[in-house]
Amino acid sequence: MEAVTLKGRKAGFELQLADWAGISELTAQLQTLLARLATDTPEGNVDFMIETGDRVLGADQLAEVTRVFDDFPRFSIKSVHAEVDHVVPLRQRFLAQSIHLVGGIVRSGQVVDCTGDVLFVGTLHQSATLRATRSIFVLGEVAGLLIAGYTGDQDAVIAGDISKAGQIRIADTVEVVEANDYGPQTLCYINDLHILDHGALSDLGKLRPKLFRKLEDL
Amino acid sequence: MGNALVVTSGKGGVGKTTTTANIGTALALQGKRVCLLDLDIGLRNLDVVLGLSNRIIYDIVDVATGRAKLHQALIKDKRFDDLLYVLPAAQNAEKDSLEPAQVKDIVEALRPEFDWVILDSPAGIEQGFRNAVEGADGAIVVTTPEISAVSDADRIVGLLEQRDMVFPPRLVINRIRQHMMADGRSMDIDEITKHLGIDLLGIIVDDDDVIASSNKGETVVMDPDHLASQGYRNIARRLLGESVPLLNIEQKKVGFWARLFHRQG
Repeated sequence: MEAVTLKGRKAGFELQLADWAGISELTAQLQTLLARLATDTPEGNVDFMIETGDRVLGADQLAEVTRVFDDFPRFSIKSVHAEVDHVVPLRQRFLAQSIHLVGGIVRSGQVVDCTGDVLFVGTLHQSATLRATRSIFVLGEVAGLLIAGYTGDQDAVIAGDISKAGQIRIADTVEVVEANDYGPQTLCYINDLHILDHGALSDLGKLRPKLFRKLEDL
Repeated sequence: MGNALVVTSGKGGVGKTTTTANIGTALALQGKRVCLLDLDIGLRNLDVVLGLSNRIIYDIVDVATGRAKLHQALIKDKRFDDLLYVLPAAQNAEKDSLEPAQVKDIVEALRPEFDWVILDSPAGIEQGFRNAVEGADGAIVVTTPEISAVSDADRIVGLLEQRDMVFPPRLVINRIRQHMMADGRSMDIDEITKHLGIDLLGIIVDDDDVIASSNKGETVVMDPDHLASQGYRNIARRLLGESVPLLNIEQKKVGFWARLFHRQG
């Protein structure tokens, strides 16, 4: 079985380095393949996309592969790609899709940032801030500032008792909460006119069906 | 080795210096060796409250910069034998003349000689606050029942909690006006304590004699008959590990005849 395979793609030539093969075997086969290509095509420069399958090449391994290309000045590496996700972006994606439980006291001047949805069960003091990239569901006491969708998500909502909050924001909309008759199950959302609007929590299914289904799945 | 506590509040004018002076005096009355540090550079007044202003030769900035030795700058309060000392702040120095590390060194040098080192923090959360908390094992957060003071105390507690001190911050509610709490015009003790979410160390009632005694360069705690004095004495006992019930601050009803003859019943 070949450890190095050459494929023609729309975007150009792709060298597939098998993830089951050792690096010495890969470089030996790559050397042979590139030598044969150099003989078969005596003219013109060629860029190769390298695909490494389910393996991310480390810096040393990548240097060994690159060194093979040094013997063939007409050939170069255009890109290196693996079918593997890195831990950091994967964790960020996971966090963005989770609902985080936030408790404790958030004090005046403190800012709590969360990626994803938040279920707030603590106490948010006056002049304290709770920010989430998606929605905020309030079960605790809130006297400070709530910001949902702070990176711009206009589908984010704020739900729960916000009657004593200082201010609420969803994406780029703002409401200064003053004397009000908000109940414990108030739903704040951005309506079709791009205005921060209020409704009952029971409307969540109609207003934000995706979010509602996600909550049902929990 | 002694304990080091910082007295702080965030907001100015809530009684940090008065609290520092009175708690220090109360601890000295309990036989403990106490050193009070004034860290309000440029606006020193701990020495004024204790009536020691005239005896200042060197200050804390002199010590930090090596112009004076620590024992040269310490002022002994002769009313308490060898128990109560003050290290005054500088009056003619910039607010940033001290670095947190210098304050920490001074506190560390004082610890072996004193049971308690109490640092009087300036108002605010800038350099002076950072200096004051740097050398402390714990904090006494002073507030009054005003919403602005409670809000600033909340901010301070948040900053103190981030510092991971040896002892968690404790609360002193100062200038309590019983009649305002009784008729619901000011936050009550439970509300403030619950809101700030830290242990209550003590309460001090608003008493004209606190101001009057401080104007004379004395601390009210020296007169055991005052309610405010009892509050400070209770705080000192709690700091020493005693279990002391909270002061009963309910106002006594004044009878008709007592009012008629201007005497309290």
